Amino acid sequence: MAHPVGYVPEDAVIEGHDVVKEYRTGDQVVRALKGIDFGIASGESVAVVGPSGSGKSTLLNLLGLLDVPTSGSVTLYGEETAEFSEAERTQKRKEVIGFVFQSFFLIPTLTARENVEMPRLLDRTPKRTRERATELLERVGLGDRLDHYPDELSGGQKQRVAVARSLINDPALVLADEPTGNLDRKTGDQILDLFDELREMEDVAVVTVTHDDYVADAADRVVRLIDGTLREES
Amino acid sequence: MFDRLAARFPVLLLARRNLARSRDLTILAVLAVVIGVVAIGGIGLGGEAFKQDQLSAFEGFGGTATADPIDYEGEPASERGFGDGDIDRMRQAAGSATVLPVVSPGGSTVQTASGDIAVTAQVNGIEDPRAFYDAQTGEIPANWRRSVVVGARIADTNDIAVGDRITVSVPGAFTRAFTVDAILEAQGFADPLSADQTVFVPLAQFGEPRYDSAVVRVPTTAGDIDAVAENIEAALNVRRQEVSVSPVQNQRAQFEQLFGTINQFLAGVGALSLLVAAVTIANTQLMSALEREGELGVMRAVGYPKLAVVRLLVAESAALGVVGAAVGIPLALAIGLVVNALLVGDPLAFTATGLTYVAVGAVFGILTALVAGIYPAWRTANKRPVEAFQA
Repeated sequence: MAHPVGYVPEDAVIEGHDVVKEYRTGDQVVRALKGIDFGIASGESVAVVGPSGSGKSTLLNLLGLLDVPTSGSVTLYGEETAEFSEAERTQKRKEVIGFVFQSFFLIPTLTARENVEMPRLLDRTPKRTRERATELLERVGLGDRLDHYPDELSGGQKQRVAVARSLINDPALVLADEPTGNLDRKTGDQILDLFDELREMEDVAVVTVTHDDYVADAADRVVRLIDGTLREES
Repeated sequence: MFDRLAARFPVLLLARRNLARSRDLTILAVLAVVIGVVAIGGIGLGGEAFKQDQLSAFEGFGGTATADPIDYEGEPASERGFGDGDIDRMRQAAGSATVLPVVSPGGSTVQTASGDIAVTAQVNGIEDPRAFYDAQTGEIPANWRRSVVVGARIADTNDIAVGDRITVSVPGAFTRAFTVDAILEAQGFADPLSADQTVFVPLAQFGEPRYDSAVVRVPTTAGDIDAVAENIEAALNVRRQEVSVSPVQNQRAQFEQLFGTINQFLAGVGALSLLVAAVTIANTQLMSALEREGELGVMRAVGYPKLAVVRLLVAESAALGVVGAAVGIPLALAIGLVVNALLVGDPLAFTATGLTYVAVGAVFGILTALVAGIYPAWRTANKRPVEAFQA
């Protein structure tokens, strides 16, 4: 099914209209996003592709509520993200969004299970958190590595831990920044399969940012960013 | 136990793991706090022990005071100091207390049997040393007119023994050789006549002198030296101020205060080492935060509020302070034990003030660490998570 450029699904978790993002570097103003429309529906899988410098990271930051647009609107369940206070954005990130990074960013001093628990460590529900973390690690195939530290895990295993971590708060949206960038092809495939599996089981939308076309092939929908503007293809 | 604590305060778990990660830096930072705590506590305890040791010299002088004449300019030499009349009036005013007139001629010299000059010796003329002092060796004769008795330290440093002949020379009065009849017991520095440094010559040798001062002592069981001192001053200072009587205990109080001040100053110098600890900790935390920028950014991204990151980092530096204090306190106390044993003779002779120094050192140590951690924590937490993201 093909969608027009700037397609915004009806039941979008997060959507943007005429989104512009500018950065000031010294005297120069860099326009990273030049007025784009986007939307992520619940449970769908979207790949954002494009060469480096095309605005991928900027889009990811906006989707992750890590930044707000210079103009235009980005809404989360219909609420304007620019109007959230920083504390509110932090809270919304925790409730709605999970993150997976290219270089995993596991905390080396915590075990696999503790790393998965980390986003919920301050919630004072240690028992439920532990159960959920164990369940997630079992689901990503690391049930026998619960108490291993990151340096005792392979790259693929680390990324599995990171995927489990992104799901600990039952998010509606997982943002994955080059999730296979540091993995070999075979391991990368496994991670992508894992995303597909989890998307079905957890009913979570997955946005993968990549410059790798084969990663994009695995997605329901591909958003191509070139020089701050969108080109969509199915 | 730590697991249960960590379940209640998950920040502690994170903090402990992080500190364990950069172990060498952590140990150095803890060491800096330990040094500060030991410096303050050790100086405090040591100073207190020294004070106790010095103040013990005042023991036995509880009922003693010195009476000094107040001389006026233009007064003829014959009216300077105390005359016999003054001493009589003092004795009347003093009731049952003993008043002992003293001649302390300046410029006197003492030459030992071997011909050496006893450099630090001073010469005092008194009526009867038995009123105040006991002999360590020899015996002070009942009718003491023609021999000398010698203080413990002077006898010791100049090898003066009972039976020696020593020559005492008082300018304008006499130069005579005397037999040493007794060496006195050591009195300590609080003795109003500095007996340890003194060669006592019978007053009779001075003819009809003016007295340079008088020592007043009340009987040990009954009597209030402060009241006696007041009585004497009241009786003699009628027309004008003629005498000032100061109980040895007043000097003790002044002394104690002086020691307290010196001790506080020294502990303050010790506290400077905590400043160094603060710099070390701030440096450790800044480096550690820099190293973990990515991780901390992820924590912010996954929903840790700014304050939670600040709390985590401050908990780490506070933990450095707590561990430093926990190691420093027993070390300071150990120093206290040794110094007490050496100076006071009782390892456990801790004073409340001394222990307060240790407590203050510990509290300062923890506070310093905590405060030193605030800036790096605040700086790190205020980085936008997105910056950490792209690191």
